Amino acid sequence: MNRNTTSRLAVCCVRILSATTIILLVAIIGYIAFRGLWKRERYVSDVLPSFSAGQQFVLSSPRESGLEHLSWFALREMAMGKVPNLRSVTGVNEPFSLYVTDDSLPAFLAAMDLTQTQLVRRTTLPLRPENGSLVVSLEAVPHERNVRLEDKVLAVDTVVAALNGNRRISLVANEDLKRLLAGNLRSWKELGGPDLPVVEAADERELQTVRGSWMVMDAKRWRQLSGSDNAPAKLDVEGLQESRNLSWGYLTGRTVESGKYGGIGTIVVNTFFLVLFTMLAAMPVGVAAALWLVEYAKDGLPKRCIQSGIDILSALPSIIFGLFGLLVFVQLCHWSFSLLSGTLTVSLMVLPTIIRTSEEAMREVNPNLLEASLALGATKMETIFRVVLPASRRGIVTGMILAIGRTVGETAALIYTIGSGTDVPKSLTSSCRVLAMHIYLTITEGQSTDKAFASALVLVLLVLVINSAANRLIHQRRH
Amino acid sequence: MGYRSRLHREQTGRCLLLACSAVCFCTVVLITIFIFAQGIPVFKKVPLGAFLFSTNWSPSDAEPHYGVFSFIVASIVVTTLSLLFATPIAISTAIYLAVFAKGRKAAIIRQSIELLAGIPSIIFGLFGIAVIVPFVRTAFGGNGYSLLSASLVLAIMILPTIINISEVSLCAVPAELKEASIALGATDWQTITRVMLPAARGGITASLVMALGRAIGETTAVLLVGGNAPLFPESPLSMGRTLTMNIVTDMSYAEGVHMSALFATAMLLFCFILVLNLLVRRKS
Repeated sequence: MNRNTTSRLAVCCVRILSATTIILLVAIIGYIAFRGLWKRERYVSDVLPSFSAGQQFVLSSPRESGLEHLSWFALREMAMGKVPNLRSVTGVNEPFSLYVTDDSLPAFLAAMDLTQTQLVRRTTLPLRPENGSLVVSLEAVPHERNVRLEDKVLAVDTVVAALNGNRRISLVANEDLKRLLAGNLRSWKELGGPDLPVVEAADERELQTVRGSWMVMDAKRWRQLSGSDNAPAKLDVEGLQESRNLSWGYLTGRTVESGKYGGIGTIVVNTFFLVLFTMLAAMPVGVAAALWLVEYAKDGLPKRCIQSGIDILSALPSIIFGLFGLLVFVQLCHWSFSLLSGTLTVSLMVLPTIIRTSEEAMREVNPNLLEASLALGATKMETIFRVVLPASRRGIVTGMILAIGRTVGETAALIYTIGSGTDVPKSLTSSCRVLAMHIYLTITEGQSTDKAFASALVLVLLVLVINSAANRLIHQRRH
Repeated sequence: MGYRSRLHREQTGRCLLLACSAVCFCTVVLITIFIFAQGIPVFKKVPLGAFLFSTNWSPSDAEPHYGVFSFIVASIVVTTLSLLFATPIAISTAIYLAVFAKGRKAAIIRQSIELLAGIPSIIFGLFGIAVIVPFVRTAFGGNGYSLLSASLVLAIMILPTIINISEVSLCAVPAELKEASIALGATDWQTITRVMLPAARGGITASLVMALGRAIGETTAVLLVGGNAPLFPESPLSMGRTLTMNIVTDMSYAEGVHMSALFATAMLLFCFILVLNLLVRRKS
C-alpha cells in the first residue's frame, strides 16, 4: 500500500477515535438526563386499566402525591375511612382526606354503593388541596393531576391460577393480557400455565364450572361476588407506566424512608452546607500554603517535604481519606458520623487542588508589582495582602470552584464519615447525607432506581455548571 | 504603626503561612501512621504470606481466614483491562489535539474532556449499572456484574487523565523535530509514530501510570458494577472484588482482626499508590 494512503487512513482512524470522547460524554449525560426526566415504572395491579369511557366524575390529586391511578376498591376503602393515609397507594406519608363536591355526591355514592352516613367527608373544598388529599368532582380541579380510575376486574378459574409444576400464572404481562382479551390465546400453556383451553365465561357461576375460563366484569358485580366463599382467583397484571421523573416537588420535597419516597430538598441543602463548610475550612489553609510556597519557600528540605506532601495527597484515592476520617474525626475525636467529620475529611482531600491552582496564579503575578510595593516600604506581608492576593484572585477563585466541583461529587470519602441522616443538620455533629451519597445509598439499599436517576440528573447539572464556570475562568486568564 | 510591631506581624504571618503549608505534609504523615497502626496488628494473627497470597477470605467463619490475593488479582485485572480499553482512544485523542486540532472542533473536544473529567464517579457507576452491565450481559452472557463491566466504566473515567497529560507532552515536542521529519519527506503518520510518540514517550508513560493510580483507587463506580463477590476471578466475566471494594464492603460491620485486615488492605493500596507516585516522579 502506498505510504500516503496508509498515512491518510491512520489519520482518519485517529480522528474517529478522538471523536469517541465527545460521543461518550454525550451518551452519559444524555442517558442520565433521559432517565432523570422520564421514568418507566413497573407496577402490578389486580385490576385492568379502564377500557370503558363514561366515568361520571373526575378524581384529582396534587401533583406531588405521585398518585397515578386508583382502583375502585381502594377508592371505596378510602371513602369508608379505612385508609388513614396515601402510603399504601403511593408512598406519600401524608394523612389522607377525601373531598367530594356537592354536585358529584349522588353519583359518587351510587357508584361506590355507599350511603351518606358511611362516607367520611369534609364539606368545604380547600382552595388548593394539600398533599395527601383526593378531590371527587364533576370537573377537573385546575392545576391538579387527574387520577385514572380503574374499573374492571379480570378473574380466572382457580384451576388456571393454580400450580403448574412450581409456577403460578398469577401474573401476566400487559401485552399477553391484550392477546387474552382479544381471544388470541388458545391455551393457558402459552402463559406458562396448565394445558387448559382458554374459555370466556359470562358470569361467576360459569367461571366455576368451565375449566380454564376467564371473565371480565364490572367492579360493582365483582365486589358482590368476591364476598362469596370460593372466589375465583385473580389474575394480576403487570403494567409499564411512563411519566415525568424529576419535578419541582421532587427537588424541594422532604425525603421519606431513605429516598424511597419524597424528594431531595433537604439533601440539596445538606450538600450546600458541606460545600460551604469545606470551603471555609480548606480555602484559608490552601491559599496560605500557596502563598508560603510562592513567596517564602527557599529550595531545601522543608520545601521539598511540603511539595511531596501535596503530590502524594493529590494522588491518594478518596477511600483512604475516608478511612483516615473514620479513624481520626469519627473515632478519635468522637464526632461520630457527622457533618463536621465529613467536612474535614473532604477539606483535606481538596487542599492539593486549591494549593496548586492558587500557586500557579500567584507565580504569574508580575514581579514588577511586588518590587514596586516593597520599594514603597511595604512589608512582605502587606505586599501579599495588598498586591499578590488581589492580582491572583481569579486563579484562587478558579481553584475554589474546582474544589467545589470535587466536593459535590465525592462519595467514597464520605461513606464512613458523614452518615446517612436525611434531615437538615441541627448542629455540626449531626449526621446528614449529601446528594452524591444519597444516590449511592438509594442504589445500594435498593430504594428506587428512578429516584436515583432524578437525583443524578440534579448532581450532573450542578457539576457541569460548576466546572463550566471554572473552565471559563481558566480560559479568560490565559487570554 | 511602629517598625517593631510591623516586624512582629510580619514574623507571625510568616509562621502562620508555614504552618498552613505544612498541613498537607502532616496529613500524609498522619494518614500513614494511622493506617499502618491499624493495619499492622493483623500480621500478629495472620502471617504476611498468608495474607498476601491466600485466596480464602472468610472473616465471618468460625475459623476466619484473611487472604486478599483474589482482590489483588481482581484489582490488577480491572486496571489492566481498563488501560487496554482506554489507551488507544486516549492516545488518538491526544495526537489529534496536539497535531491536527484547530478551531472549533478542537475546542469542543477539549471542553468535553474537561467536562468528562468533572463527572463524579457515582454518576459513572449509575451509568454502568443501567447501560454497561446490561450490555455485557447480552453481549457476553453471565449476569453482567463483572470485572469486565468495571473495567469498561473505569476506562471511561481514566480517559481525561491520559489525554491531558499525553497532550501536554506531545505539544512539548520541539517543532524543529517535527519540521525536520516532514522536510525529509515523511508523511504525517510517519512523523507521528517515528518522531513525536518516541519523543513524548516519557510523558505518555507518566500519563498511563497516573491513570493506573486513579483506576486502582477508584471505589464507588467499580463497587456498583463489579459484582463484589469475594472469590478468585476466573475470567473477566466473573464477579469480583477489588481492594477498594473490599474495604468499603466490610468496613460497616468489621471488628477486631477483621477490621485490622481491612486496614491492612488499605495499607496495600497506599503502598501501591506511593510506588506509582515515585515512578511518575522518576519519569518527569
